[in-house]
Amino acid sequence: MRKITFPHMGNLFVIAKALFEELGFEVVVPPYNNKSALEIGKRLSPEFICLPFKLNMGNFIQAIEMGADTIVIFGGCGPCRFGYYGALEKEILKDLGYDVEMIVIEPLFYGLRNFLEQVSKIFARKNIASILKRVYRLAKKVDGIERKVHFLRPREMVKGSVDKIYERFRKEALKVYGIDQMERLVDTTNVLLDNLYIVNEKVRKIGIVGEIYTIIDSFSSLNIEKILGEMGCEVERNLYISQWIDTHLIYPIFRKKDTIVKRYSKGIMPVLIGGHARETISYAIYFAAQKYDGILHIFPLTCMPEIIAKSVLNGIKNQIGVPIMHVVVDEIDSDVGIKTRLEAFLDLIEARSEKVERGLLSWD
Amino acid sequence: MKVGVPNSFCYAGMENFFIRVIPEVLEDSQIVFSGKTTKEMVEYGLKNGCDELCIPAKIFIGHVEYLIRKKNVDVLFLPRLVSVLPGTYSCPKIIGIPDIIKTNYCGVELIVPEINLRKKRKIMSEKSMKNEQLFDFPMAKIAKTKNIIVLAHSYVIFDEFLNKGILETIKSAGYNPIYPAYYRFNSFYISSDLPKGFFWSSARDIYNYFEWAVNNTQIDGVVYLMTFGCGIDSVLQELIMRKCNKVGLPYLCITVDEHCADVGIQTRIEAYLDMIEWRSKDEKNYLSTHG
Repeated sequence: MRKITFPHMGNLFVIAKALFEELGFEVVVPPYNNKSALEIGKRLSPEFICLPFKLNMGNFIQAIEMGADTIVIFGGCGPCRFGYYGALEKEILKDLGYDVEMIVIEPLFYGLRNFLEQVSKIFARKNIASILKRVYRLAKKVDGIERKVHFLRPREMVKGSVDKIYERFRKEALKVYGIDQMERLVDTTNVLLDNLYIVNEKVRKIGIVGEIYTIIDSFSSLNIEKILGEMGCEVERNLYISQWIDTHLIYPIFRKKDTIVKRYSKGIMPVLIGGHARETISYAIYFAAQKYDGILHIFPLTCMPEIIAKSVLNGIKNQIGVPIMHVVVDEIDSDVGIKTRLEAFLDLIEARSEKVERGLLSWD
Repeated sequence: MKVGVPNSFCYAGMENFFIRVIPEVLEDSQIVFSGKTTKEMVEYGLKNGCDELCIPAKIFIGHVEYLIRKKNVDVLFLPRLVSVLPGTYSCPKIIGIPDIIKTNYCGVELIVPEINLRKKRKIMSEKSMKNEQLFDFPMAKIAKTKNIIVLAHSYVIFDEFLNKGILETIKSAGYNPIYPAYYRFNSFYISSDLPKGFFWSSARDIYNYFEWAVNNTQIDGVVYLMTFGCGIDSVLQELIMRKCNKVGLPYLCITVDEHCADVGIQTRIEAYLDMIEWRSKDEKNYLSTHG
């Protein structure tokens, strides 16, 4: 029996665990991203590689110590470095002497046969279609919880009650088995969240854009969403896990494109440059058009596409007209610095909004 | 009409290509090259580039600014190099660099044709798009013995500001520097020992050259010139280091950035070459892998 593990990315483990268990594998979920995972990753990874790679390495080593023998990860055909993650990680683990099998699911660009070979190692099971359908529904629901948490955090009556429920959900998710039980857990969490008392305060809205891993994974983004929530801001992101499934796995089948990206990237970045640079730019403009109070752009140090996005955003900041803060995350494990920066950012928004109301502000 | 072409970063070595192509696209145009990197351009670039950009890209912005300010060009010609080898991509920064220029220098008109050999879709005329004609670099001559292979992107090897005279230092110490020049190898030659072929054109080129040189020539050492902030180098350097470890080649990695301290790097190169000298003289049997 294979013992499967996979890298963490926010709540991905909830979905992946349920999927692999439903397919009949034993699943080893590595400990949540934490300081020691980052420490291991820092030691084993190339110096200038991006943060997600380092956390992946930490996850893998910790999972192997817990008994995992198979690692599943997606590949890619560029131009972002993520496409080479699997291959490089394989090489590093091999040189370290770990005897694990890595299943790297490459896109069809590298040939159908290669794809089927890798996928059949995982999906050699009955009625895949119905399982995938249920997993997709689960992913939608899990993201729904995250959205609800973002909505409730600044509005909760008893401070900290949302996070208590959310943490309990993440903890319980490690204990339940299969899609059905996971779905029931999600439903009870939803009920708990719905029954919270909320107060109607003046809530600021902040849009978060940036590189997929660092905005979805709260450890690598230094809990920015939670900090903002506690400071009374509602957060909206441009990427969720189910949205990733939509845009990368489902839309291509129907030859559909994200309408917001299509509409707002016109004239600024006509072609794909890899990663989520285009999404970052178009959603930044979109959030500004939706009258958000501020935009946060989060990306790991040396992330190639997002650096281009940052440069482009710098060029069109007059057109956007909403304050943007760029947060570059790297091997930091303290959130004090980021708290100070966020406070300053919110002060700026506060001061600016008064001027906007009185019609004094000229963005130039 | 004055057409400005910055020749650094991804457009380094494309001078002949531009001279051939621009008259085909634009009538009565006068081509203005930005020329070699100067201190002035570096300063422009550092001031106006976004902090996290890699050094070659910052210098590129400096070249553009120099063309706009000092040469008064009407149009900038910046082809979007999506892919210059079949089946590969360029680095995301190379693909996106026209967008940076477009959004940051609003007053200038840009001409951005797309060069994309990945999909076999050619925007420019067929004749000028032959692969081997895109880049034009002098090839390195391989000597019988005492070869040092210098690995880096071509825009680093041929930019005197970035390479800090490394080739000269190696030459004056009595060794023969050899280096990859873009796309001289058959692009479908996939390195056998890699778990997965690279999808970046330049990485594939560099790694293939490295592997070819290790297998077919007598080389004494490997020097990797890494640019600070380069995403491709961070992966490529690691793989080449691991390979050198296995083969038992002395390996040196130097990270170059905007600070102009040639002497420090020269000292490191000299120490490295001394070590190789000493090793070949005194320790014929024992092979240490690290420089």
